[in-house]
Amino acid sequence: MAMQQYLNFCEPIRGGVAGPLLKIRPLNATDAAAGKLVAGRVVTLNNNGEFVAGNGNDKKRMPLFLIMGTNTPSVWSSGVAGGITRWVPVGHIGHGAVALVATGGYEIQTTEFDATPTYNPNDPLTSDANGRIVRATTPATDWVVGVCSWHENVENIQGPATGPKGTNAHGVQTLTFWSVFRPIYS
Amino acid sequence: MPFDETRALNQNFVAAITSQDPGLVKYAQEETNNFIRTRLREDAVCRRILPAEPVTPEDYVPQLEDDEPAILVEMEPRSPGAVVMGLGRLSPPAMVFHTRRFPVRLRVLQSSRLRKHIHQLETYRADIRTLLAEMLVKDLGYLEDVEFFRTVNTTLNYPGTRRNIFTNVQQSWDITGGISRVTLADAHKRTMYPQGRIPVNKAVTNITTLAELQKLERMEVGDDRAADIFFEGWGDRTIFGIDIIATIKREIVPDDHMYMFGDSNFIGKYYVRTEPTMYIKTEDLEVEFYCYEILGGAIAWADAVHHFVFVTA
Repeated sequence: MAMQQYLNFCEPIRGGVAGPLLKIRPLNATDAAAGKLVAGRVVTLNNNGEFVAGNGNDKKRMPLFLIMGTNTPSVWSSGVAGGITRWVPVGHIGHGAVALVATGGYEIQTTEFDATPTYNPNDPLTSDANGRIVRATTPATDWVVGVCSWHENVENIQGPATGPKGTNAHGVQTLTFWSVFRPIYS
Repeated sequence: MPFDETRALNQNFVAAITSQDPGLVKYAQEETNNFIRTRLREDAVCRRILPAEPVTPEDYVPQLEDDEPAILVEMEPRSPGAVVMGLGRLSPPAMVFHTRRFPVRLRVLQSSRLRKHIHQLETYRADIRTLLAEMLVKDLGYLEDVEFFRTVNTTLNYPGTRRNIFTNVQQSWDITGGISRVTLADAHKRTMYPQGRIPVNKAVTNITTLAELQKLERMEVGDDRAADIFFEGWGDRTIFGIDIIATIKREIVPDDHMYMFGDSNFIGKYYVRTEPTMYIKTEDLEVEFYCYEILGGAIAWADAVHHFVFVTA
């Protein structure tokens, strides 16, 4: 899998010291191999304590936002090329992945979102099964993980931001939102 | 160590880490650093299999896709075998050879951040430096071994097919009959199955399995060394010329399991950018300290990696 450290990421652009509000857990090997656990994706803990993409159809799961995933070589480096294992990195098989806890009071900018719709400030956000952020169309019953804010980190030669979606100084399209969480117990 | 001497050491240490004098803080860090490195060399078993080689930023190879430190290692190229040629036809097959390279990615291993009120720290009667070494550095060594043996198990696909994932040759076996001269020889024989024919020279087991080795009787050992082992312990004795390394980490190397390894040049690399380093910070009346190291490794060939479970029938 080609690494995409510069293309897939999320980062807290505002929001206090991240340290205490992080969670460090192993990646689920199946989701990792399927490419669902790059930085920026929404993840939750499964019953084995692993990060999996999305919520596994369980809307009471605490959402987290990966900031170090399979595109971070010090976390994940498979050593597989052309379907053949060429080397096995010591310790780089998904242990030690890092995620921001959704209740941490962050404003987050992510590359992992559905870029198709128009987003407006205060639009509620949820996640698809692959951990990509999508607009919550039925927020009363959706697993809400964030609320759109306003694009940040635009280059000054690009003109002002026009909404939550925009191209940041890395030249990649991002969505900016506040992390919130409302569990749904059915 | 007498209590007065320990207390004096602790007071000096606390005074140094709480001082605003950079020189004294440095003294405190060095005091802990010097001690720590010794303990780690003794404790991390994996470094006896893949000796840690120091690297510097000059060794890094910039990567196209990311900005994390990486080092590229070249592997011996594979070559075609010789062919029989009839006289008069000098046209053997040609083959362009390629070397293979693999990356070693570095990462940070870090202890938890330990915090303490300075005046509580002053009440300690144990040597604080020993305490730091015990609590933090052993954790790093432990984590190194966890990651190393997890990687070894991955290369042997254990539990699973128990076959070398590079070659699909079985290199993890159950040996029935517990531990005896015969079963040990049976295990050793199986280390010669892979095509690499790489001799093993180190075996890692745990302390309880080592105790099983101590049961070998005179009939099996063949001379008075059975009695020597009974009175003196195993010591640094070898079996079939293989060094026996017994770890206390039974959670990592379970009872009745034994790993055998060849020379590290046939297995992979283990690089250390930063040896365990103590970070100490004081703020107001609280001291915070943690230990970290930056290292990385990779197993690139596993013909010299073997695993055995001695099963009591």
